[in-house]
Amino acid sequence: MSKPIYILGLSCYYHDSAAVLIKDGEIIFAAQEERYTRKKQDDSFPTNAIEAAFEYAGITVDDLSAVGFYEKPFTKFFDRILKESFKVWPLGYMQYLYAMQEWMTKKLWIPHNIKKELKYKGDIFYIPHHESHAFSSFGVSGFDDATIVTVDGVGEWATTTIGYGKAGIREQGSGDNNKSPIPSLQSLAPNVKLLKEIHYPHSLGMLYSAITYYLGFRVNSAEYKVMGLAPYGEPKYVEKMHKLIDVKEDGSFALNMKYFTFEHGLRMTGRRLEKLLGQPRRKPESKLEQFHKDVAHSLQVLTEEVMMKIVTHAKKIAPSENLCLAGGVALNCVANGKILRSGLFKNIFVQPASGDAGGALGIALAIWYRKYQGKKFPRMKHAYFGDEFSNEEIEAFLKKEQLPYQKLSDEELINHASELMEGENVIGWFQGRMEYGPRALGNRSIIADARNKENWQKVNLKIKFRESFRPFAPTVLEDRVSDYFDLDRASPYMLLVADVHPDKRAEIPAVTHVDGSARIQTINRNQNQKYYDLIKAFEKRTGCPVIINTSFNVRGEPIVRSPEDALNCFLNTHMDYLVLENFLLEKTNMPEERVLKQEDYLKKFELD
Amino acid sequence: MQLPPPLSWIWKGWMAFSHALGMVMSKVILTVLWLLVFSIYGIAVKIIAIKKLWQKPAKTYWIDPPEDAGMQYQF
Repeated sequence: MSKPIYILGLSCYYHDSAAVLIKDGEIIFAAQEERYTRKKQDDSFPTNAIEAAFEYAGITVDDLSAVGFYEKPFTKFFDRILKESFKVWPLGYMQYLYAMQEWMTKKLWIPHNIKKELKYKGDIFYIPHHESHAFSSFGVSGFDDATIVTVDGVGEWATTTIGYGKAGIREQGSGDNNKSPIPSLQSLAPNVKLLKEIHYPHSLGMLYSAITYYLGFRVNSAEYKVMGLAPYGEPKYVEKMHKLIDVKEDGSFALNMKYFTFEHGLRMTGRRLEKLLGQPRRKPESKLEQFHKDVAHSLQVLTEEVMMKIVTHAKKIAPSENLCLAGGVALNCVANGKILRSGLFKNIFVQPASGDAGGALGIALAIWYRKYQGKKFPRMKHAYFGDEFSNEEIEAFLKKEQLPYQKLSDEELINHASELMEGENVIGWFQGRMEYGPRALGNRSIIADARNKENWQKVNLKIKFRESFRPFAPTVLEDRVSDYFDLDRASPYMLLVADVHPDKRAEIPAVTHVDGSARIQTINRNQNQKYYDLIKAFEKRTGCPVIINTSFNVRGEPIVRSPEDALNCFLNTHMDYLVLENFLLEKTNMPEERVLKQEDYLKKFELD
Repeated sequence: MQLPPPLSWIWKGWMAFSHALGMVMSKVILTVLWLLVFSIYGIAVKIIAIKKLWQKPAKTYWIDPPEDAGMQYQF
């Protein structure tokens, strides 16, 4: 028997460090480093995630065939960062100092750091940042060919790319219809080619982040809050925002840099933008006025307009009936929903780890396909690729903590939990393998009854301690999705927004946003048996196949990884029940001295 | 290897001092580089950029991706 090929993909040193381990055309393990270090969007070398991957796979570093890094560090530093410093000189001194210290001490030493941290002696591979994004989406889409669009803040130079992906000749037979419109893509294994790109500083991701900053939220972290805030506003500032960006009919665009300071400063925007929009930047944590909601709405409208133009042009130059999206902006599920409804593409696949964490998967796939001419990965059907904990480990942990619990069989657990969910109870639901990517999809989730509107504010203010305007996403049984939502297909990663049918909005008020939309997660039994059974039991009991699903954490905290993280979050919030695999903990049974030390707990996490 | 006191105290003190010195010196060196080297390139780049003032507005901002050296290289 031949030796299996293990490939380790890494992303780190910018934000969202992650490690992904693949073996012979299968994802074995994938996790972000933040879950281990408990520092949100940690950018450090993913030592803990790598160790967990090795432990899960039962291998050592000597079993690795290759290691990949998700971008080209020399291109980024020598070709962009230095040139940008020359371009903005004499401005940009502080940014230069910060960048030089970061690059000189770690970012220019990637192979050295990898070899030192892992004690690894083999080959290390690199591909451009946006190629990593493209592979992370097309490589696991299951499509035979696809138009690929990647949009984020910035990679080396590229901020937006259009590409084409083609399954290899091996997968497609050898008929005439096997010919690719991109000749250089005639390879044995699946491959992607980037055809066009837009370069820094002209970046849709940076524009979104700049307005996020202007609205007083944290950059590279809270962009999704702006998306959630948008429906409360009116698109009053779209015209003014068009002064920030020149958009051509083919979807290409250039930012008007006089309104932005991110090229030379440590801030994103300055006085000119404040003058244009008529108000100073909102101070973080200060009151949100109607003005801020209108700005958020206008930005969302502008983003959707540009994204629609980009994908329309992409379809022209890289024609396919399938679309693959990746890059941070692909997490804008409202824009994704609009692209889907436009009917431009028959099928859409969005990589659930669309941010930089997904780059680790992208480079691993690129090595598999390009170096090893590997077989095509099947469609990525779920995102449960992280750590898991057995009932034995959890029971030992609970005994050590000396906390009262109930042990239930699978059937008892499903029945009891679905009963508890009815009404006002909020449950921490911890099961199976941790999710890869920014969304909790039913294994590290806080769940509640979507029919009870009070649950919206209860979970926002008393459990997650986050802003009251933030909406909640529903999980719905896949076979019932079109009964409740204007959506005719699965959305397993919460990456599509669609309207709730008007006659259903009153039934599930806790997950219906003010504009009648919802960010949908569908679930089927093959993806997650326990979670599906729970919602099915809830449906049987109540007739409603929809529940609230939000990530298991408080504001600013990474999603919980271990039973210990889950217990800490449970004890220090107003959560009513905690389910750790087959163990049920009830808040009212917890010793008084162990509960509600919220302030100390919340202080540990920096607000986003 | 763990040094016995008072050698370990001296070692810790020296490391703290050298770290602080490194922080200061790196900023001094980088500032000198900024003023002497980056200024020359910065001015040169600005002179070269003058010709862009006469460029016609672009019809599209899409450009072709640069050639890639290959997966084994960092550039």
